[in-house]
Amino acid sequence: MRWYYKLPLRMRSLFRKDKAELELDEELRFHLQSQIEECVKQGMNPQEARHAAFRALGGVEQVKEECRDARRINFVDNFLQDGRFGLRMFRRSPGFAVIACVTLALGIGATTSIFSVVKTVIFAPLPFRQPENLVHVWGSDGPPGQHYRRGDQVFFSSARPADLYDWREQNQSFERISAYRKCSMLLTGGKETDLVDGQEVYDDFFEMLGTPAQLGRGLQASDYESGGAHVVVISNRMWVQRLAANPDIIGARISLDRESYQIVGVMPATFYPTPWGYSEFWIPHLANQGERSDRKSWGLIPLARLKPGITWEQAQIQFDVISARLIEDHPDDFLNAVVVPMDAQLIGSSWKLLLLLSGGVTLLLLIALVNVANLLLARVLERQTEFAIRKALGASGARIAYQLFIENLGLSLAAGALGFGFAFVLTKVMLANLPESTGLPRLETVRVDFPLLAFVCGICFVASMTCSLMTLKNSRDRSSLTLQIEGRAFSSGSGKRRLGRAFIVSEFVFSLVLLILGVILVQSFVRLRRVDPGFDPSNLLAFRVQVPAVSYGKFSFGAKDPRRERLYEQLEQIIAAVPGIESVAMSALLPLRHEINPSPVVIPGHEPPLSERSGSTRLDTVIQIQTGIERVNPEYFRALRLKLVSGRFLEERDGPEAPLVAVVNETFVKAFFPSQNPIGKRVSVWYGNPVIVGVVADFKLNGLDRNALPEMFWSLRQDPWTDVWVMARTKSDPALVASAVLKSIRNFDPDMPLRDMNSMADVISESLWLKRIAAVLIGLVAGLAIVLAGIGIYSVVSYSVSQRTKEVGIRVAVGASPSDVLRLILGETWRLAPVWWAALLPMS
Amino acid sequence: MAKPTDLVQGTLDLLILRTLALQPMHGWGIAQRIRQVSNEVLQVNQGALYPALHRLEQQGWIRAKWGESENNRRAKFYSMTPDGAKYLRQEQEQWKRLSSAIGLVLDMS
Repeated sequence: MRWYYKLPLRMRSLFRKDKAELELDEELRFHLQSQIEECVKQGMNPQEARHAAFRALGGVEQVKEECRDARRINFVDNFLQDGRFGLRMFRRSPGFAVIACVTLALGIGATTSIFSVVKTVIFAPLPFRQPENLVHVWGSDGPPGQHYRRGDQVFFSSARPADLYDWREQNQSFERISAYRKCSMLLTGGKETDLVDGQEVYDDFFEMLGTPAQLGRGLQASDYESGGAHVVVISNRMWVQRLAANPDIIGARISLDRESYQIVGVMPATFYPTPWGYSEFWIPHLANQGERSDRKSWGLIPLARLKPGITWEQAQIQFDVISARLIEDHPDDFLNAVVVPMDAQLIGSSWKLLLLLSGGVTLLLLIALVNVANLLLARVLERQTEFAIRKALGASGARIAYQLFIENLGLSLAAGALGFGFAFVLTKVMLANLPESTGLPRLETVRVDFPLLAFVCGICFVASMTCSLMTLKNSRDRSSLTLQIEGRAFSSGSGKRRLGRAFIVSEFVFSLVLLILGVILVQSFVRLRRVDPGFDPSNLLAFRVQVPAVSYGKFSFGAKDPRRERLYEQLEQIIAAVPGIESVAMSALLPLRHEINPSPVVIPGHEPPLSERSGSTRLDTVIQIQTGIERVNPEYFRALRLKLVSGRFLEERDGPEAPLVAVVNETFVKAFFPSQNPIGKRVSVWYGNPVIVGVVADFKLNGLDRNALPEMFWSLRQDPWTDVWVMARTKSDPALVASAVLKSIRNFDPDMPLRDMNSMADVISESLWLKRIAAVLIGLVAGLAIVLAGIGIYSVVSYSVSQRTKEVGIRVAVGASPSDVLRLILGETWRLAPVWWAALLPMS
Repeated sequence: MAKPTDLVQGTLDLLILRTLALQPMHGWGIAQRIRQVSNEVLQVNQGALYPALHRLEQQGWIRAKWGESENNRRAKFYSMTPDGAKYLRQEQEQWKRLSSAIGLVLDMS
């Protein structure tokens, strides 16, 4: 086939269509005339000859059509024609078009946006050089032999500088080991003073991760020399949000903790090396003298790059050997190492949430597809007469299928365009509304993914096409019947009504199942909202006070910290003095917002309850030997209206000089002193050995839907935490006193960052966001499904009724009353009821 | 034969091409010629003739040109292209092989 024959021919067929048509006419006319002459020569009269000629040729129009097919002009022509026809059909029944389009768009949009998130968060490669070789190295003060297992918890204890040096020297599995420590610094000089979260990183940190900087460079060895200039590497977010994305930022200076730092690099937005919170900057940690043997400064989190060919499991085995050696040198303050691969660390448990959301939207898409399929089926049924007539006039089955193809393509494209807009909005809204506590990494790099969108649209198209073709095939078997029925029969055949019935039943069953699911989810959500948290959440104003290290000194775990301790006492007095405040509770973590990281409990004089369970890191067993530790002010128990079970609450006399005391909850007593009075018992937890002085009734700390865990409360006076949450009990609506509280703290220290100010009721409802999303999502889907099912059922029933118009007419003519007719129609529908129930039973 | 229609269609193409190998001709003439040459045995289905001509033209084996017929009427004359000649040779070979093979089978005793 030579293109130089083909091209002009095709061009002519396409653009000179009228001419080609005329020529075809002329060609056939010439043929017919020659044939007629021939017949006349043979002795027929002209009339007979004419008939004979036409008979010999067959249908002139059919021949023409076949010639057009042969020329392939039909391909393009049909396309335009079907497009126009489809548009007209849609205009004639805009309800169908809009509903089908919006339904599909909803499914496409939701699916695309959620899977865009999944792709970015889970499947996008981690932005490091050979990320598979990177691991986190956590500490574990739990039983020796605690290991990470796939799918299990990924957070363990932090480490101390001495551990880092020990591990660096002794573990041969690693190419490099570095570490970071969270640090919040006061950023001044901008519009307003703000405390920003960053990380102080040890040497080799950037070399180990191997992510190229977006601008400038990462930190390098020379930055760690003492006496060097203060340098800082900033995140993309800080660059964009605080520094106006200035391209000449390298070399500029910012003021952190009132000291000047020179910016040497900007890291890309995807750089997210640590699993919690977003770091806005990285500064080098300058090693000091005593660090080598510092076993007090907790909070260090080591990261390491494995040597090529070594797995994280092998590194863990080597750590176990090293630990066995180290435990003899430092029996009192020894720490195991737990290796966690980087991908597991960063994605953490977020995949569970994403799995839920993915499941939800997949269901939504499926429902949308089934609904649209049902709409299409009903429509094809309605159009059976049209198809039958067209077929009688010479349209081939393929031609009709092609027309459906064009219509479905148009539908999918329109739905795809609408779906894109929907996905765009949904992604925006979702990213803006997901609470920080989801812990999903890299969320801010999420964009609507176009290939994904195309893929989802493709699925929709294939599904709608398949369904159209199936119906067409179904109707083709009866197409000859259809015309007869239209013309003569008085009642539609029972076979045809059977299909309609199947639709009614499936629509009903499907939407009822969804409705039941939706009701269950909404109900469980509502029930959760009514769960008694065990404390009184009404009229509680909650906010967080972050304590700038530059003003109040660096925080270290378990060390005496008179400045913070005084600060908290002062803050308590200042807030309590604000009019409208009744009492002030303070705690290191906010109930129902934070998970409390548990620590193992050792009870002197007891058989160590741990050894028989050692080696297991499964959450359920760990919980039995661990307790959460909360640091609270003495007023906490009264302000939250907690119930005392025995002993006493913490009091002001448990000051910094007094021996460490603790209040525990009932679950703690059940776990560790099942048959004893715990009051007066001494236990050893992490760095403290408190005496238990009281037992408080259980209340919800970790989540409304979770059972209470063992908890222990220490006084903030004795163990001040790095920063605190305030829960102020107000006399009326907390929003009314919020600004007064803010102002009086600003008067005390204008640089004190206050964050996340909210009523406790809002905190509680935010803690249920996942349940809410699930309930709202499935509820919406169910509602939509009911509406769609209604439309589908209406169209099927009205079709079947319209099929029986003649039958009804005859019945009325021979004396049936309108109520008889109604009974006939309703009876038909009602007879299906047992079938729904039968189908529903196994599903529910 | 798995698909008897192929044979029929392919045969019609072959007959058209063979007829056009002698001289350019219009559709009516092709039908007449085939009938005469085959001693009235082969009746070309006129309904299939024109689609076949258009298909062959589309494939570049024949070319169409308007001209004057024997009785001075405008008619569309088809002529063979070099590509068509090549295709015809191939198909003739094929046909001979096939028909002699069928002959062998039928003569089997």
